[in-house]
Amino acid sequence: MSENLSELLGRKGLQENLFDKLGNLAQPAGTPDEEALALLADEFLIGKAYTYGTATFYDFLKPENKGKQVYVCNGTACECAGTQPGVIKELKKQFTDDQIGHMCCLGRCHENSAFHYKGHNYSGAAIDALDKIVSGDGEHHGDRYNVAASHDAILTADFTDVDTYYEPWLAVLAQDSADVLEEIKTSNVRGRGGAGFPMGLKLEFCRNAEGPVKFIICNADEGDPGAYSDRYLLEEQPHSVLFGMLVSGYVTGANHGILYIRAEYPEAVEIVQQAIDALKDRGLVGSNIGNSGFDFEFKIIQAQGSYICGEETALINSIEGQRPEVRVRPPYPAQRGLFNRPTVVNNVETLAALHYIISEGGEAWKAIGTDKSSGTKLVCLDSYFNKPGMYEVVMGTPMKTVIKDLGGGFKEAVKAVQIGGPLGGVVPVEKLGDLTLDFESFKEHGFLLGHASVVSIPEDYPMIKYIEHLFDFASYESCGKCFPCRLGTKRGHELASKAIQGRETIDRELFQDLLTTLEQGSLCAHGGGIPLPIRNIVQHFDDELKNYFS
Amino acid sequence: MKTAYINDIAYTFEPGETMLSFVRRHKDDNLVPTLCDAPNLDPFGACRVCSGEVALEEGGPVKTMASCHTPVSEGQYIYTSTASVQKLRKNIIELVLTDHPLDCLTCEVNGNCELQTVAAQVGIRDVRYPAGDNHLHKTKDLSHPYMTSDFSKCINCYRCVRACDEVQGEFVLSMAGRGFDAHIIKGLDQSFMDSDCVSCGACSQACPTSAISDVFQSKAIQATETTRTVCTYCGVGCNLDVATNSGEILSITAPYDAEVNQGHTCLKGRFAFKFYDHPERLDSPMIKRNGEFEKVSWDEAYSYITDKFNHYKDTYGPDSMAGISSSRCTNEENYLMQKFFRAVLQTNNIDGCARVCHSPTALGMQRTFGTGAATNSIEDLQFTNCIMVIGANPTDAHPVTGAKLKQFSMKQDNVTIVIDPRRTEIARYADHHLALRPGTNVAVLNMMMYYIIDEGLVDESFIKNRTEGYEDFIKELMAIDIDKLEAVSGVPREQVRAAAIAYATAPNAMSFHGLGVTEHSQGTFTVMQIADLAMLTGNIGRRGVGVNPLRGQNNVQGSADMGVQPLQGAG
Repeated sequence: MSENLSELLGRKGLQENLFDKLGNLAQPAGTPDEEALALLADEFLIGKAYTYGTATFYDFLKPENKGKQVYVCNGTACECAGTQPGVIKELKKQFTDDQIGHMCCLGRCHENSAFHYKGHNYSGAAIDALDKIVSGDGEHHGDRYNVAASHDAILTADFTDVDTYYEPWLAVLAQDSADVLEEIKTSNVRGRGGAGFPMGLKLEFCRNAEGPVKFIICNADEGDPGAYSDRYLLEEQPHSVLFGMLVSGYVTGANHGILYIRAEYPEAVEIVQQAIDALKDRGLVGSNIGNSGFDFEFKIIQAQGSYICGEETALINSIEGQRPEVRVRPPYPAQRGLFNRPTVVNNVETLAALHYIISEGGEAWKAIGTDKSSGTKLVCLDSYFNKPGMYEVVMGTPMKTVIKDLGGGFKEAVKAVQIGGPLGGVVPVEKLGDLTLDFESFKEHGFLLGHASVVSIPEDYPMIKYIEHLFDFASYESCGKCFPCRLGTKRGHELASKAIQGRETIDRELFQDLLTTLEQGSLCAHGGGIPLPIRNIVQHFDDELKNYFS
Repeated sequence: MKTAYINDIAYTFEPGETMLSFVRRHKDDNLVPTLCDAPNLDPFGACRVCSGEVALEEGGPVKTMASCHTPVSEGQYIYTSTASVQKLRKNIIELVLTDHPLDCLTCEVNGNCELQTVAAQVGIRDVRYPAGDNHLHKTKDLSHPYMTSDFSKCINCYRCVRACDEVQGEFVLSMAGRGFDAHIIKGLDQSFMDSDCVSCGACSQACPTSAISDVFQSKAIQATETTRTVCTYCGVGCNLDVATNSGEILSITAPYDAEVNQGHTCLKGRFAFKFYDHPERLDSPMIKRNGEFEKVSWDEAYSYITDKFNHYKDTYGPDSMAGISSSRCTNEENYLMQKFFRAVLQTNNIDGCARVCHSPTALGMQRTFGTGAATNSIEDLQFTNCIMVIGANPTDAHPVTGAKLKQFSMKQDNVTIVIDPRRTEIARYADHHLALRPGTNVAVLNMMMYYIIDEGLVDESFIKNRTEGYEDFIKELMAIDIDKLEAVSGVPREQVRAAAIAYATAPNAMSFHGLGVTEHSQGTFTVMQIADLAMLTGNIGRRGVGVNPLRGQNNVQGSADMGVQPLQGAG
């Protein structure tokens, strides 16, 4: 990160945003031309190397994206389901090789066969009607998945109407913001993005930071292959997210809310914008909301294809229009975040929890779940389940209940599941019975709850290939800033590939050294987290893997 | 006093200090190796080689942390060299060497390469990874007269990128691509020559390997001697380390421990040294005979000079002679020169370049403050909130100070006012740019003072306790015709008013002026106005406030102080 760039890029405020402009310039060619990048650099008083450097970072801005028409999902669930070679075969009938790109996880893990064409995502049987999709004859149909709750629905409760839903917001505006913060702290709601940091504390840090300009950012860059719970909330419960941002703004004294939504979720962008417009129409956002003297504005930033942007400091750099490389801490975002101003970054699902906490009280949320993991958690089950879908589960619920009662058990023989995204643990099916769905149980057993997506690894899917896939993903999505991750994930991928090709077995000591280096040395949880699932696999599937190691 | 432990021994630390700084302050500099850290750059946390283990209490669980960006906390136990940490460092360097040529013996920085040193320190004996993807095929960029690059040697530490940003503020270098493909670029992935590089050489000096270097190979170690000296090009006075071999200059670098330039200098200081032993330089005294210069001995030259001086003094009197002394000379030389003219030749006809450019500064500041010198060090920039740059283009004329002013002007919370007809580099970043008509400084400064008084922003207590003649001053000033001054200067009054308010309301404001102020017939008055502006707002007499001429030569102040001027002697 560059302090100077944060300062310079913040000069024009959010309305004139470099990252937005880069995205617009990439249309329709797929990448901005160099002349335009030079002009943008001049406009923002930065060097050409920076606009060029930023553009070349992202999947949907980089020069290689030029001319891409259609994108095939290469997320883990589609990979394990083995549907994508068939999708590519079909697409090749309509498109040349150069026109076909990749998107990493379209959040259609419950249907697979996912691809993206002209601003819409398709999955399941859609590929069979490709002719109609391309000719524009077919209507666009969304996906379908089960939604249910293990107990009372909170995050998945039916939406009433805007006016009723925002009554608690108007009530909040009449309260002392310190009291509202206390309520959130009482609830002990922890971040749902993976790290599980108490939300109340984060808000308090930002509240205590000095400065006239502060930001609330909703991290809607749900990049974990296998996860689509944020997509559910954005598309089906957008007001829960906006409500959470408003309250966070009020508590911290921030007047700007930014939703950073991944490019792979085009429908979510439209739906959230409509929801914001509805609030504007009713005066529930804007200046002097409900005569409270409090101002709040929303802005959606559409991401451009990069998993690392889910890391909060990379996300902040991304919004600024810098290269989304991970920043060092301190300073923490609550002290110096977006444009070097105090900033809170929260996950979609964390923000969505606030409506219940504000309406029912912090104690009510705290009473749900376990002592340390309060509330409910959304869990995504992939297509290997009899009832794939998105389930709201009370923290502390046995995983067996989630798998069997909610998911209806596995359709086919599955040997392990990866829970919590690519950096989450790989749990052999026989271990699932030991786990309850909460941060502590997962940690205790050497796994990670993460964002709680569940991707199944079928019996016939080779574990060495899964290791290669994880390293490939980690290497492709590494920001490249820290040495261990930039080099280590690449070498890990090469070791696994060579072993698969039978060219060289993996030196076990070297492999352990590599994992330890990534774990201890990496700057962020990307490089630091990838060893966990790989160690799980090496530990639990030693028999299957032993011929690949020496 | 706050205490933390390094390898179980207690030491005191300063609030906010990083583990790296703490360890280096108390222990050997080399105890914790680093690659991406540099003395004049912010902590970056890329290489992770500086990692250490930290426990919050004695015997408590340890965590591995990068020491360059982790602050020390009270009672912390830091372990710099445990087996685990040493292994981590070795494993990281092993990864680096999977993508680095192993041609150290023929590399230009052999013996002065940080990667080489760290690799030796951590004890790398072999690279266990099978051959894989790499960047060894990258070709050299030799397009530029000074700068060179060989990115096959690059270890992606970003030091060059950060130097171009944090030190020079030019933003020519960045990364492109991501992950393993991330690579340094210049401009739009151009050559050094085609990019906007200003050849300051900060990137080359920052680079720990030979990935970026210069044509003089300034990181090579052939030199037999290094001499610390002061650059003679401008008034900044950068310290330079000159590497020589048998009296021949090989290259120049900027020392990090120099307060004035902290490891930075400009292309002139760094690269323009070829005049030193240029064949066209005079290498002996010469006397013109029959219209031709002839080389003569020093003895002959001195007797010739003596004869001539005596002859003119006896024939026409002492005032028939005059001496000019240069501000590039030292105080001692300047003192002797004026002493010689005054005491031996008995004339005050001694002058120097200090009076050509900034005489109005000396006089104007003498009249207002009593002495004609800058009131601050450039270091004071870190204590100010507002700078006013008038009639100066420091990024061109005083590049190292200019770079510091530019760094200041980029920050959102700082206020920058530029008064200059040109859209200078600093003006691009300024909050207020009063683009006046040339020669109308007096008009604009009068307007500024008018608005400060009009808005009630005068520092009354300063005026009362520290100034005299204020009543007369205000009477004259408030009688000015704003319509007329607006028309003369061509600057809309609202712009002037806004700049005036910004200057007057800043907690601390400093001004900088150059030849655009002094080299006018009303230069002295303009300097007096700048001084008045400072006094009016109480911006004089503390750190971070004051009046600062940007002067032309490295010893321009010294030559005047030594008496190289007809009106005033030394002291």
